[in-house]
Amino acid sequence: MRALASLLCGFVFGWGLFISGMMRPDKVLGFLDVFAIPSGNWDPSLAVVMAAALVVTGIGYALARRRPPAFETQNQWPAQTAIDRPLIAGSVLFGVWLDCVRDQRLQTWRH
Amino acid sequence: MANFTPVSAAIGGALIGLSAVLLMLLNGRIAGVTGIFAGLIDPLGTDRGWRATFIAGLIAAPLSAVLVGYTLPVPQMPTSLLVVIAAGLLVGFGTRLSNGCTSGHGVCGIARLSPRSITATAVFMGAAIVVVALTRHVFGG
Repeated sequence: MRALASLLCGFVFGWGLFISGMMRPDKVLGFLDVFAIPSGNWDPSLAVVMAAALVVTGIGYALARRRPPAFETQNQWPAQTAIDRPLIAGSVLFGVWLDCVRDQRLQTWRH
Repeated sequence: MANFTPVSAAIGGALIGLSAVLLMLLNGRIAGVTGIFAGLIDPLGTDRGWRATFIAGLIAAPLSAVLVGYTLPVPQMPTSLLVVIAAGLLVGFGTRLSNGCTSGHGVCGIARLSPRSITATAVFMGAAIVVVALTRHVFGG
């Protein structure tokens, strides 16, 4: 049942990514490109995706805190709270290089 | 803002949230995609079953979208495969170092109001915005 439940969750997550346009690099880059704000070409879609996901997750997690999960003995909430160097360094690496996977213009930059 | 698609963004975002909630209600787990995948390929990993099916569902979703008549975005491949491989490795390394990515920190963590996740999300979003500004407007032109 655990495997089936997470298959469903993965499937719903994938549809969410797809419907929202967040599988398209141009949509993500369109949000990250803040220089496009003055010219009117900025795409705030990613912010709406995040906001909608956060509202649903926030309410759902409040419910999830009250009961044990259906197919496990207990919820595994993250225990780490430290804001340390690995957190910052890892996040910088993630943010920087994710763009380079996405953006062809890196080629222009490289040459 | 001709490219703004608020309706599909809201629907898609809600689905992502629903997935995160369901995974917690059913399996008691955080829906952090890179974390789930990392546990799957960890040689010392023990609970691979649910991780494998989550990833399978994730990949099946856009494929099923094709079956119901959607067209998939064509992956845009930069000319240098080497850059993509190196960047992919660094993305993976970064998310393991910080223990989370857009889904784990950005959605699940912020929904829990975790200061750690809020910090991580601000840092990777900020870093991504700086890189796009540099590559598009300073070096790219």
